Amino acid sequence: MENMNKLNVNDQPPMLDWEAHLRAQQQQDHGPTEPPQQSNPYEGRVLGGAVPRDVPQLPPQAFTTSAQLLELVDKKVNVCLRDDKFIQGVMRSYDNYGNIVVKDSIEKLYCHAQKLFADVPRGMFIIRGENIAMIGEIDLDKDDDIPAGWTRADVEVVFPLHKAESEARKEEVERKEANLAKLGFVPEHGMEF
Amino acid sequence: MLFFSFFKTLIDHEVTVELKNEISIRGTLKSVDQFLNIKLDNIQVVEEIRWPHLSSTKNLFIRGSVVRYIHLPSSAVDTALLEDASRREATAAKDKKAA
Repeated sequence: MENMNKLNVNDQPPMLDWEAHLRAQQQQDHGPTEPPQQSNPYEGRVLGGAVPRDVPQLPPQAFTTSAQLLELVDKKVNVCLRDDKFIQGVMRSYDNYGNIVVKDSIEKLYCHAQKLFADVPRGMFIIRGENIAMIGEIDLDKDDDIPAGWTRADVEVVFPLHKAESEARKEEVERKEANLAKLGFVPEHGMEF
Repeated sequence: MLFFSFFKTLIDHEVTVELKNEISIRGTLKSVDQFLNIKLDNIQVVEEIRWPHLSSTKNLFIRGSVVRYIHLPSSAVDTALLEDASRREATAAKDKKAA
């Protein structure tokens, strides 16, 4: 160790008596100070010491929310918000609350009556976690496919239709739940809890 | 925690998730966490013509609070075991209250 402290990459390499040096090195490598070779590389480094090697160890983060989001970073994702908005973009970041950053995003508008859809460029989104209903990775091979039976249309055409439909659906849900509430059911308010 | 453990036993089984906004999604259960958020792989929307929104999406992370029902394969559910576990859980809760 004393040797090590004196070494410097800028120094000229010391002239050595190589045989003596090798002998000393060999003694150092196999001497009593060297810890015995460990069969378990985790031994002594894992809490509780011995880990049975034959039992597959689950990564500790496997069942946490943010572990699922980690896989989606830098992927093109499809986010469904609680108010039934669909946003597609590249997910760039997230935190423990499930808040996410989506860049280069587009909002998908759909008109169910006429089977029309349109994309609205929306730029960057920072979405609060509680408003996310679902988030999924987009298969880039299928990304440009137009869904069977649907037609792409201009935003100017789809937007008012989409808006009217969403409002109609909201009213329908409210009406349904008002009736169910009379029968003692607890209202769900769609996904808007 | 009972249902968390229960869903963990269903991992890699095919399930159908019905959401509160009426979409039903079929897929392989890949992961579940303490909030019963679930992750599905190879998803397929049940009424594809009505819900084209997810046509290009291959996997889905669904927030637990927006799920209404999860349809399970009955072959993967041991009802007797589940009943037993819920009784045990109920007894444990009662004992805790009494203590």
